[in-house]
Amino acid sequence: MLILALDTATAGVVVGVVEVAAAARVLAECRTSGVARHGEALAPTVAAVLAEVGRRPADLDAVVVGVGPGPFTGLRIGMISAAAFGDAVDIPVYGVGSLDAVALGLADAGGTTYVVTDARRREVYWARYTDGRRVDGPHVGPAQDVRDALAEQPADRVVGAGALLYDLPGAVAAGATAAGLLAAAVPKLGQGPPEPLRAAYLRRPDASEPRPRVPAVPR
Amino acid sequence: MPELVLGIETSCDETGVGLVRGTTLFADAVASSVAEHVRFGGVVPEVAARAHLEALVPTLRRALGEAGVRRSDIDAIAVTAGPGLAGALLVGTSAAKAYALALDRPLYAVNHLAGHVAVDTVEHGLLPTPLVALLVSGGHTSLLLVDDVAHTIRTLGATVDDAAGEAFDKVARLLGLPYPGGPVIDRIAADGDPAAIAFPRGMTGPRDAPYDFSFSGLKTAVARWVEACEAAGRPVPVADVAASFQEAVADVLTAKAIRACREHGVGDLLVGGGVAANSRLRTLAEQRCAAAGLRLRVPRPRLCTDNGAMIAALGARVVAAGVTPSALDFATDPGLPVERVSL
Repeated sequence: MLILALDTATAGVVVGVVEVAAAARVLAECRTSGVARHGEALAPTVAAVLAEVGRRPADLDAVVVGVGPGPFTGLRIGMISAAAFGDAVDIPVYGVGSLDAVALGLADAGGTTYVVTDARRREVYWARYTDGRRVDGPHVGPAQDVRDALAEQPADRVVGAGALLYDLPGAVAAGATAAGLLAAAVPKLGQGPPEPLRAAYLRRPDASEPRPRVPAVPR
Repeated sequence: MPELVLGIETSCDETGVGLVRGTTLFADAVASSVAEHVRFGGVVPEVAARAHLEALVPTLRRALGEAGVRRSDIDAIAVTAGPGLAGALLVGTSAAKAYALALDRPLYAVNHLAGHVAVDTVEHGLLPTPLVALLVSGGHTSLLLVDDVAHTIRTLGATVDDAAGEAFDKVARLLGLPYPGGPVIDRIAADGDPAAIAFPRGMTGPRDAPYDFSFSGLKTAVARWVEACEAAGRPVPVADVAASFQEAVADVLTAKAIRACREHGVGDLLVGGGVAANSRLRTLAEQRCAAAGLRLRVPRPRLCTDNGAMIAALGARVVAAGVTPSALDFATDPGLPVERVSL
């Protein structure tokens, strides 16, 4: 089974091609970081990664995509690309938590892990994992929320760009990987048709209803 | 046989997918998020972008079903690259890139405004050249000189403040009428007297730019008039206000469009964009074109509002003109000038 894995829930894009037989093997992967520009980078990266392994879109059996949480505009680029790609070649598209893909991509996920990414607006997206299983979150909130959680539930590791940005104790860099995306999807693969993709926005759109004006038309 | 072009449009609050071969329309599927914006009194960009993500693939499937074609029958893909809402545009272009890559078909990143002109090819056939186009919508109000819709368009003038459709929305709100304002004002104005109130005609002085527009003063004039009426304790004659406002808009739009045709020696005028669905604008354009000896083209209302067919129709012209396809790494441009028909 050949799988295309995508994630655009952070400042970079993650694209990988994974072969799943008895065990999963990442055939090729490209991860960018820093500047956002997902809309420009993603499709050429998918093309390059497929070319690297000498496979065509029609050779793929499924797409796995991170559904967030993550900054909205970038997140949607990965999700709609996955949905369109899957529709074009008529293969299932599985959504997985983007923070889960970080936790499950770690070489060692034993014990307690916090994944903390940048949610902008002085906030982070975060979740807590025990032996690679999500036990709290995902949440969006100030970094102080993570500090409070850490005080109650100490961590074996705190990872992600948000952890570094807010200088959380013991913070190390880590991001979603193709292997992590696949590991998050494994329980869903081959379990019938996937559920419709739903973005984990965690925030409502910024919009306020206008102040009511006294209507000129008598009612 | 000309190529079958898939068109994807997500510049504002309509998710549109169309299929056009040459000048023949095969499908025009639209999902609108307008109902979700009503309570905010206008389009909320984030709400629109979320709706595009949910609606795009189902809308594309609907278009394929309408046309009775398979994905593999698609020869080329066209998508709106701008102008429009940044987050909304990115949903459509990302989808288009994925389809182009997965189906191995050429991709054309095209201009939304040029699409409003090109869509008329599926209703009235190939466009005469040159052509003056008056584009009026909730986001745009411009007068264009179109030498070739596939690659040569020049802006003669545009609004310096509000778009015409925006003025309809704001006046509707003043009158206690629901969003969007265009259709409701059109309906209510039918019972009013367009000459009841002499609202100002913006930018029509001798020293004003001949092809530019301004609607913000008109909106304020309507507000002042309504407030004065309320302050005096008189009931607001809503139908008369709506009709007089609508008359002021249609008068300025058509007068400037006719003048542009005359001064550029152009015999054909096209009116497009969502506001072209307005009945008074259509009637006045017909009367004035007839009087000036101009031929008028106005697509049916369904094709005037945002849709995917317009992008497919423009894509068909761009493909036919032999324009080089866009690279997969093209960037959307929320302020894309109409002079850039494709990227």
